Amino acid sequence: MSKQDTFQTEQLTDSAYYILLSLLEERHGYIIMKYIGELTNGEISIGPATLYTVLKKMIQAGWIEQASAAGERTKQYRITPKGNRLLKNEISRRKKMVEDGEMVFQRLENEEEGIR
Amino acid sequence: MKQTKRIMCSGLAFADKEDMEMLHRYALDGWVFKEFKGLHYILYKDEPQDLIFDYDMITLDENEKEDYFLFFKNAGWERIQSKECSVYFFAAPNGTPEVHTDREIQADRFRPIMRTSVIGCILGIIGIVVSLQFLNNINWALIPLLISTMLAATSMILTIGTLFRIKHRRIKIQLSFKTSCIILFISLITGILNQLIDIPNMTTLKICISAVTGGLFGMGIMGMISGCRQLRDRKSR
Repeated sequence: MSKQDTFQTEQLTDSAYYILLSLLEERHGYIIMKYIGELTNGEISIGPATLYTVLKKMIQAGWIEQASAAGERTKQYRITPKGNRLLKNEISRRKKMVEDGEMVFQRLENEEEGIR
Repeated sequence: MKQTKRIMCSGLAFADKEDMEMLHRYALDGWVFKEFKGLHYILYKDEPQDLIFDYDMITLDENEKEDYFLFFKNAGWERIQSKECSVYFFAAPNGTPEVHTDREIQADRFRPIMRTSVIGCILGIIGIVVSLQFLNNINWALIPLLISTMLAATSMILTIGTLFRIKHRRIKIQLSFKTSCIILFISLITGILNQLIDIPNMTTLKICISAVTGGLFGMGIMGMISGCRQLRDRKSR
């Protein structure tokens, strides 16, 4: 997480983004690590200690909630409506960033073409 | 041949990486860390194994523990027996991804320890001031003075150490074993002289000397611990 706590700025770090993504479906906490590893082809990895703390913080922030049936010993989690909105905003934000970047590169290329 | 070795923990705020690497080397040698008791790593004679070790500091309720350990098990990390609460050690085959992947969150784990050591500092300083008040009338006030000084000194060092860790840095106290013994000796001499020489109207000076004594004492202890660890590391290579 950057110096500006992701839980305060509500801009997701890569790890937080993928954790929320993985909880669009109900999942056991310990499965999340494997899921993210497979989804990102090993690019993003989250350690067990970090994941445990992040999940706790996300519950406190209201982005995810526990979804265990009564009597289950290991906990399942799922995203909340608030977390869902956050995720969608994040995808739009990152999409815009990519579009801006591609536009600038394209414009520079066009200018170069124009000069030649 | 003995079946177990006891090795003192160097203080996770200061030398956790070095300790974990040392445990790894021992495991390759056939001495496997299997239990943590009384601030010591207990190693058992076993087949040489290419194991790495890591730890986490966290306060858990009873009903959270099972879930927590399952996270680690699923990532390949087996829990190591420990009587300490709030510190958990884990072992995994070499090559397993780390237990912590976020520096900020990992650094934050030292915060509770820092708070406790700040309290220790305050208590120690209060103890020193109070004992000095009584010192002129009662002779045995020497003992509480000594205890308070030791408490303040070690708490202060722990506070600084954990404060550095929270800011992602590490204090390296690289005193040799010999140097630390000398420093400890000097601190004891100044401490004793400070008590024996009773110059009137010199309370401020006495307080200053006590502070210096405490500081030297703390440095000496830290240096000895790091010196012991260096000796131990050299032996295990």
